[in-house]
Amino acid sequence: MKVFEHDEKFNFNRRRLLQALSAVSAALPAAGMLPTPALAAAIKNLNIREVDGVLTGAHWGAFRAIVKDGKFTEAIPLINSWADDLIRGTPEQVNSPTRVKHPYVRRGFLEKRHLSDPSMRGRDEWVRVSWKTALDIVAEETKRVRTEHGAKSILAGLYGWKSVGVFNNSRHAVRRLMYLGGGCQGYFGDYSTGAAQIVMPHVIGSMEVYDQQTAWPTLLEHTQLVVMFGADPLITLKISWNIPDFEGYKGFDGLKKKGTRIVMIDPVRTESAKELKADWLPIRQRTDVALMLGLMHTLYTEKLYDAKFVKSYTVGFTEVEAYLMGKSDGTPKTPEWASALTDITAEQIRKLARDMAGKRTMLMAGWSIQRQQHGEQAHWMLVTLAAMLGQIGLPGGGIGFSYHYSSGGSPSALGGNLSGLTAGAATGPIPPPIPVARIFDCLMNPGKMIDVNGKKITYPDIRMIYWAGGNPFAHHQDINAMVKAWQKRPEVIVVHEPYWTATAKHADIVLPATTSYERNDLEMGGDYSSRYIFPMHKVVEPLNEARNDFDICADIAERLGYRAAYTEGRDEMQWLKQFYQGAVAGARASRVALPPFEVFWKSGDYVEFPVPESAKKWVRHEDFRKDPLLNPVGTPSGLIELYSKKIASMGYTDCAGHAKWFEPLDWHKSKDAKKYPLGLLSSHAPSRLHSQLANSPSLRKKYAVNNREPVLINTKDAAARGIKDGDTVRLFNDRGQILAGAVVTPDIMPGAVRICEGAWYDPVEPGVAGSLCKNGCVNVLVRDIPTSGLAMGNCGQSGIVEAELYAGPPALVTAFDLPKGVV
Amino acid sequence: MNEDLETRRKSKRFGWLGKGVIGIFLGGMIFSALFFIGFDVVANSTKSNEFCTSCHTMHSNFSEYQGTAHFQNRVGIQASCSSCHVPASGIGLLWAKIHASKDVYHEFMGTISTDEKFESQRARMAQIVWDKMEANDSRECRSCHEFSSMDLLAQKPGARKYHEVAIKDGVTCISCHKGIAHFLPAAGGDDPGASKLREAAKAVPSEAKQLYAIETVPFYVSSGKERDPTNGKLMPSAMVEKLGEDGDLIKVRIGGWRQEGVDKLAYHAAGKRILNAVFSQEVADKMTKGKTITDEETGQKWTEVSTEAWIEKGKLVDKPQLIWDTGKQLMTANCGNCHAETDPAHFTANQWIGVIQSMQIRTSMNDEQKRLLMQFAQKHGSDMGSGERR
Repeated sequence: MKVFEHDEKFNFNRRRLLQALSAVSAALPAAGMLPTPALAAAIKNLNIREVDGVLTGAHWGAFRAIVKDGKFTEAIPLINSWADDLIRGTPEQVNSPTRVKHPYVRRGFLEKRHLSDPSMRGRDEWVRVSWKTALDIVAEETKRVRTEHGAKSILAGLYGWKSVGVFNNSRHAVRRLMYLGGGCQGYFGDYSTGAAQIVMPHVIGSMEVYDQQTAWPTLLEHTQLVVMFGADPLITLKISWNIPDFEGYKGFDGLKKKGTRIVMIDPVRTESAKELKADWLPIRQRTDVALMLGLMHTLYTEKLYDAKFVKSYTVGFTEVEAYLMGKSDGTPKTPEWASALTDITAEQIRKLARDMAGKRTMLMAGWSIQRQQHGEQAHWMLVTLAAMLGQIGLPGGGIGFSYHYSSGGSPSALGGNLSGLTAGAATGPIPPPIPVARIFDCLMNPGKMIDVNGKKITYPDIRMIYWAGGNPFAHHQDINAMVKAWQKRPEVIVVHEPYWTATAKHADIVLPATTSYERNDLEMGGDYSSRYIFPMHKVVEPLNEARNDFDICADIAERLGYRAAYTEGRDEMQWLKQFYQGAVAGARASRVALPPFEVFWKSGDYVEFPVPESAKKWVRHEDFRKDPLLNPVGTPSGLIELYSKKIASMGYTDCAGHAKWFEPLDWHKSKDAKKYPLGLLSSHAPSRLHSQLANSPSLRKKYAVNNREPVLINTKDAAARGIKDGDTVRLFNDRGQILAGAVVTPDIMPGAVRICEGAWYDPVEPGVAGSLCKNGCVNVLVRDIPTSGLAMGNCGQSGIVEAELYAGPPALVTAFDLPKGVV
Repeated sequence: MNEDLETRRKSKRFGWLGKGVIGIFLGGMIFSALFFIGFDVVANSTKSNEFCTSCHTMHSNFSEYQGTAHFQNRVGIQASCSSCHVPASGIGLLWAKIHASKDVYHEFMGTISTDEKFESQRARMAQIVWDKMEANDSRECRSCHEFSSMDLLAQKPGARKYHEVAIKDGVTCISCHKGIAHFLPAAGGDDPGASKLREAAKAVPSEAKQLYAIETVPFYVSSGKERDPTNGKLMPSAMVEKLGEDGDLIKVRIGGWRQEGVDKLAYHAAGKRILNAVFSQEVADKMTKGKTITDEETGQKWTEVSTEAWIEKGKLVDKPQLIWDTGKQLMTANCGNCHAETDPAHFTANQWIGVIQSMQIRTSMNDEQKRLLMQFAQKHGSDMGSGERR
């Protein structure tokens, strides 16, 4: 893997002057490996920035930015990894022609404000205004909506992968603005793990998906078999919620070098499967739960399961047993039964079950298997399967739901965490949050009552939407329904954006935000390890009229009469120092010394915390396994709940008391499958972070087919439709239609097509629902339905489609063009 | 002329004497001046932070101090190494400097040349400094911080409360402000108290009926080969009644009080959340039930429960005092490190839970040590009666 090739050229990038000084007790065997003090050197070498470029970072890695003639020209990765291409594409972000250069207001809105025709959103002309005018309008509208309709009518501080940086956290900046004014409507959950993060606490007492995993060094030492469901880790590890430490790459490379067997269960032979030389087990999409049941049936009938573990560490196996053997529903979940649903042979299922039971097995799951209808069942069933294998809490065994994300399993360093800008306390009552992915259901149906996680929630009547740091026209499902919702209810839509995304194009007011390379900030490195503190030094001055999210909100707060409360009287550097002090205090509690903020900031370098040997030996749920009585998991019984009385008592028809197989609406056996025979996969894109970086031409060049988003289609399916590699293809179903460029390959199983999510929505007729998307935005074809009444998560992995050779008029991609009236 | 001669001689004689005295006087003056100036120059130049940290061994010390208000603050006053560690001037400074020559010796010997060596010596070195500061009533602290100049009302209420007590009782600064510039010594992983208890447990007479757990001990519902450690756990210091012996196992009766709705836990006394034992659901379901009382304060129902079980030998002692000695040691080492040691009777048994939970993060106690300290503090709490008091 190229991540490990360190050539001479990059050696200087690894130089690090600020190594945190640790006072780890001598009892730790690794203490000798800790960095030696180099602080004195740091104080004397303040000129590293001029030599090596400006240190900053993104979700795709830390890098040094080279500036020539005032222009950000080159980004050099600090740690080489698969994400190097994303880093190299970063300067194009700052200098992109898609930048929002000035504040803009939609013409209709400028003239008639909330009385204008909302259906003009997405097709109206834009009018350039001054910052003063723009901020006056936003402040006036905020005040008006709050007065007329109350806090619950303002939906603000919303979901999205806002840029890294603990200070200019755009989501919190907007939330803070609204909280100080008396509160606003919020949401809970996210689009990544909507189902799992709700069901897992009922089952195993924690979310699991965002929790530290058994450390990679331990995995490499003990694991004999890795079985991975629905993940492409070498692609998804390119990004991280904070700045990545990329340790996951070392982990997977370690497995490859050691020759540890990896089985990848996926309709696609992914990049990871190829690179890691994994055994590819193609599976019909949305049937993972059936496969797990087939495996469990084999473990049960062949007495390969760990009855002792099940007895001591779980509750509810009796109910699972009755279901598994068909006593409760008349259908034994035999490998033959599973084979008929999954298209994996019964013999393969039996063999895999025996292999799992005979080896130290780590079950790794991506999140795609839960980002679908009945998604709760997938992770719950995998925990049930793992409980039968009885390896939870053993080194290298059990379950891992975050090895593919942000380098879960990167050993935790000994240090402290930066604090960051918070929304603060609201000055008025906060209405109950709505499930994040039901937002457009909420817009269409104010006052509707829904069930979620045992509670009832009434949808508020949303009049104002204020979005910063997100792009719902990329991440939400059923874009056409969304266009309709967006054009119906809200009276005012405000968006902060550096770029003319589809979300910006469908707003009323667009405020030009800086990219994170035009401002100073700080961010942690390593989501799970907390191993680095990276400074994010300003690379270039803000382009055009772009301003920082915090400053924009502070100016609006001033107009609303509470600037002092918003800024707390601090300027940029004082905020950064305050957040740094959070890390100093935390590090001190761990007996690690950090240099004063001024020394750290002036040095232009980053902090690397020591990783103690004990962290490399850390095993998830080891405490629980050693002593379930003193270290119970956070469920009502303190044990793993294969049957949850709590969930059963909620009485949902689409989520029972134990994990079950439910037939989805969209799969190869549904009645619409004759009309739409291709199962749709919408995976994470290799060269983007969702919709971010789509506007970097050097990256687009790597994947675009005919300048369109690629669609993977099996050789047989393509031949049957007369589609050749490189052709432009129209994909359609009852929800919409998109164009994509065909990649004809045997690496995807017949009956499935894959279009990665995140392509910028680009309708032939702007602002008209149902219009053909020229740029292949997959969410046009995906259902906007909830996973179940339990979690109400999104179902990004739903949809069945038909594909045909496109024969319509030439439809040039205009996703990256500026809308009407914009310069 | 004779007179003149005489006078001259005299004057010569006196002149010589006079010159000698003056010479000695002048010479002494010059010598003294040179000595004192020289000492002052040397002493002052060796008082700078740069000098103090010119040895490798002082680097981590220095970086620990850099994170504190004594290194850097809003008003720009720095308390340097020497401000806190040596007297400002005079004989005391001279003595401190002579004494410090041992540091040069240790630098050459490499006594604390690595992080590990430094950490292994940290407790000893810190204790020397603390003792010195206790002995001189925190003289160096007080060269900047005087109670008489302190605006107590400008302090946070918590700080003010303790300073008022300190003024009244004559407590010295370092008694409470340990670890203000450098890290506190880590409590050692090797716990002499625990090993002493294990020794004592080996020598328990077989006729002893009332026994006490020396640590968190697993118990088994059957004495057979299938010993399931998930049957339950006895907490350190929990009392059991000995019923018999079988090979390496002792048969005991484990008792306690169960709160209604919390089946798997048995507490030391009704209404007091001093954990005696935890049970698996299976064992909890089969416990023998005794009388039930209603706690007056909370209205909660508490039932006396017991079960027979087997415990491996070597985990029980017959005298609780042995356990309390270890508890007291933990209290001194971990709590008394930062603040004046708290009398266990200062809080109630239930209050101690919150106190220890929130303070544990500031100590390096492991979970086992925490549980023992918790039992010690709770069972000597203000509401636990004299029977359990030391």
